Amino acid sequence: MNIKDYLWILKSRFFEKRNIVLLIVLFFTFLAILITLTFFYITNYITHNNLSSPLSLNIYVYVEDQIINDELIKEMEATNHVIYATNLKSSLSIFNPQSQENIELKPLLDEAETTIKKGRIIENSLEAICPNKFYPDDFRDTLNSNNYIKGNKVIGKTLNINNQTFKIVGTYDAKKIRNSANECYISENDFKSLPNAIDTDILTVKVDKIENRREVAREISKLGFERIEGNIIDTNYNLMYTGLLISLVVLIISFALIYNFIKKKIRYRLTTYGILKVSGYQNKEIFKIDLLENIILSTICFLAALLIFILVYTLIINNLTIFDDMIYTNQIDLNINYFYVLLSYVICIIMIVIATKYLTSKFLNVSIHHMLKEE
Amino acid sequence: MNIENVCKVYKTKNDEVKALDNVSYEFKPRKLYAIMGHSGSGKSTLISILGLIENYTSGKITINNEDISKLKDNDLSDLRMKYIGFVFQDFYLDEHLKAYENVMLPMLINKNIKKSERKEKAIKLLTELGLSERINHYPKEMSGGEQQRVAIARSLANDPEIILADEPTGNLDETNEKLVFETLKDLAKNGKCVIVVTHSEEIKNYADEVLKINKGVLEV
Ligand SMILES: Nc1ncnc2c1ncn2[C@@H]1O[C@H](COP(=O)(O)OP(=O)(O)OP(=O)(O)O)[C@@H](O)[C@H]1O
Ligand SMILES: [Mg+2]
Repeated sequence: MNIKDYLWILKSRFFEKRNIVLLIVLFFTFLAILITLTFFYITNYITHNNLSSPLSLNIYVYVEDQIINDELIKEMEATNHVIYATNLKSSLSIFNPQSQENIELKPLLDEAETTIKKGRIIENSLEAICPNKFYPDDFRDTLNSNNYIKGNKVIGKTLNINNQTFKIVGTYDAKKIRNSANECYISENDFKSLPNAIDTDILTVKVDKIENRREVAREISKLGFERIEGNIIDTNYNLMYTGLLISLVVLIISFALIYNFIKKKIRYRLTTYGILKVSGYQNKEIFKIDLLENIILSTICFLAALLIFILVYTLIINNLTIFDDMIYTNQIDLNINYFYVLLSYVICIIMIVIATKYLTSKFLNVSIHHMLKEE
Repeated sequence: MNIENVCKVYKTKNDEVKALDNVSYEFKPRKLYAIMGHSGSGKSTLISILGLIENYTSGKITINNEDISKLKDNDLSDLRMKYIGFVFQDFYLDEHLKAYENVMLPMLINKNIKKSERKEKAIKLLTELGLSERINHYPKEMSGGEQQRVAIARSLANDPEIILADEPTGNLDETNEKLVFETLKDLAKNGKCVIVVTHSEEIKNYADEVLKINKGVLEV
């Protein structure tokens, strides 16, 4: 038997009442799976983003009445696990007359702090790395129509700030962040020349790994500093575990539902399958017919559920401003994550295969005489 | 087809029912056998075992001198396809398939029938059974007698040597009953071994042998 023969057998009973019921059940369970897995993705993302965000590697040292000179900073930088220590502010908000909005300038002290999407890293003075797309200051404005610098190609354009002209040599991906601060990186020396670039209260010390924060803080306190912050590990996994738990519960309920409706269908089909066996069909052929049918049904349902999901999801994300804030503070990419979509599909298919396999072998492994009488 | 000392015991929760007790018989081609007996005497059990759709507790069954007792489920499926056609009281036609498609269904697993020949062959079988007008009808659109003849055509799809029928006329009136018995008689004449379970005395006008079964014992 080839696939065409299987389809030939299937075609007639495709719109049987039981299948319509199964279609509806599958549609809603798949929709639920898509929603919960996306929820899990978001909670997971937020949790790990907090952990991996560059800020979590920073230790803040309060200066109080100590005198800060370059030697002290060098001494701190010589400590084990320290990437850099600086008395520069992390960013400066500067008015840009070009766009009549503020722009955020940051010193690029560690190349790992930004990922270049196009162009290159800063090599000379008066160069800048900017977001590949600029967003308006106020999230209530529409996002797309307000590009900070007109046109798609940001690289090569210039920023006129403080009577200085910065050439944009590289961009990073802003879509994932939707950061309305529109942060541009410039070199450390360029940054130092800006007014108010030095923070007189706080030194920032960047550590290579989160686990090393405590040790570095201890070392630095030996230099006579008393107030050091950012060395407490306070990552909160609860959000992620809640997402995981909800996903698992939904998956278990989904499987129970799918299992039960496939079972009902096979029960209802016992004489049909019994006659196939009487005619000489083997169990595995009947299993394949059944599986093929269920996979086709699932795929239809999944695509339908996905369509509805994408429509509703994009509508919500793009029209409710509360999410913009969430995207900004968590630096989360709320575009639909197709890996999770694929994962949902794979999970759905695995559930279908397991349920079909188990149920066909359970119902076909009785005597055929019995199967036919069962109706 | 030969059966020797076949026994069948149905086990229920706290009871054992001996449905067949040491049944032995040799069924030959070109003959129409009738199996008769009271309700509950074991007729259905016997014919199901002969059709390889029910297992048996002890004994030996051979088809074309091949012992089937040690065969696996898949091998039994192959034997059913090659040798056995089964007709039931309730027809068990697929309501979603037209008459000729119902007849084609068993051919799908038969490698000896080419894809292009299936439909032609199904129509030929239906025509031989006087159903040339009903080829494209769905089961619901046919009378009981017509449905049963479609079922007989389906049982003949893979040219089996043995045709088994469990009360094939149980749901039919006298006219249709005669038609079905005649059809079965013709099949026997054409070389098949036909075995019919029935309550109808009418079969005595057609059968070559009438076997009586009583409380699981075959009385020849
Ligand atoms: N699955 C089963 N479990 C237990 N006992 C069974 C089972 N099937 C049949 N029996 C018993 O086996 C005996 C023979 O049953 P069988 O169906 O062969 O009778 P029958 O001759 O076909 O009767 P009828 O003419 O009413 O169809 C009966 O006593 C019946 O109660
Ligand atoms: Mg019976």
